[in-house]
Amino acid sequence: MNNSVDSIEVLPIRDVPSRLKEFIYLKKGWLEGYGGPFDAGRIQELGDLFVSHYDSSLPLPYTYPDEGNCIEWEWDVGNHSLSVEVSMDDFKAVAYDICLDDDTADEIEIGDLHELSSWVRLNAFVGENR
Amino acid sequence: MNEHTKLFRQINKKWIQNGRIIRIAFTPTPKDHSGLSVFNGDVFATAQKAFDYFTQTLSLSSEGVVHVTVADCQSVNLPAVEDNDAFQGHALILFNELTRAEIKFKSTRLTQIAESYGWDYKA
Repeated sequence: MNNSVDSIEVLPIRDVPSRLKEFIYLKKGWLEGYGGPFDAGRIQELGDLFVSHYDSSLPLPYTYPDEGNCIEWEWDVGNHSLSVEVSMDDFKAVAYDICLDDDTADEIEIGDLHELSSWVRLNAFVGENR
Repeated sequence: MNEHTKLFRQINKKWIQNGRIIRIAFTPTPKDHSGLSVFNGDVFATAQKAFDYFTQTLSLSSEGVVHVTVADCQSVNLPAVEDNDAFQGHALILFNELTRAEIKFKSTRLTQIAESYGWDYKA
C-alpha cells in the first residue's frame, strides 16, 4: 500500500467552512443552558455561499456561533473592529463597524446572503475598511 | 464593590479562535436581558474560585476567566451592580437602553481591555 501524497493543502488558519462545520456538533444548551443546535444543512449552505461569493483577496474573518441561532464573523482591520451577524433562520446579515479611534459605531444592513447583491455589500464593507 | 473591584467573566470554548477572544464575549445576549453576568471579585477572591464555582457548583462550561474592573465599565458609561439573586457574588454589567451598535462598541472596548490584562485563569 502506497501512503505517499503528491501535495499537502494547508488550510488557512481562519478557514470559514471548516470552522462552521464545528458548530454542527453543538448540542442544545451549549451556552450555559441556552442556544439550540445549528441546522447542518444551513451551516453547509452558508459555508458554500461564503466560498462562492466572498472576495478571496480580503482578509478571512474569525467565525463564532451565537446562542440566538446566529453566526458572527469578525475582522480586526486597522483601527476598525468589523463584525457581521448572520441569522441562520433567514440568512439575513447585519454589519457593524466600530472605529476605535473616534469611538463611533455604525450599523449597516447587508441583506439576504442568498442574493449576490448582499455579498457585493459585504465585500465592500470589509474592503473599504482594509 | 468599588471602582477597583474585578469583575470576572467566564469565556466559552466556542468564543475563542486561534487564541483570540470573540468581541461579543462581553455582549449581553437575549438570555442576559441586557445585564451581562459576571463574578464579583470582592466575593470571589480569585479567578480560579469563580471558575470552580461556575464549572463545579453550577455545572456549566468555561474555557477560562478574564476580567475588567468596575472603573473599566464606568469608562464606557456602563454601570456595574451587585445582583446576588442568582448566587452570592453574582454581579451585572448593565447595557440598558442602548442601540445594537452602541452595545457592540462598548462590548468591543471591554473585550479589548480584558485582553490587555490577559487570562486570569485558563482551564
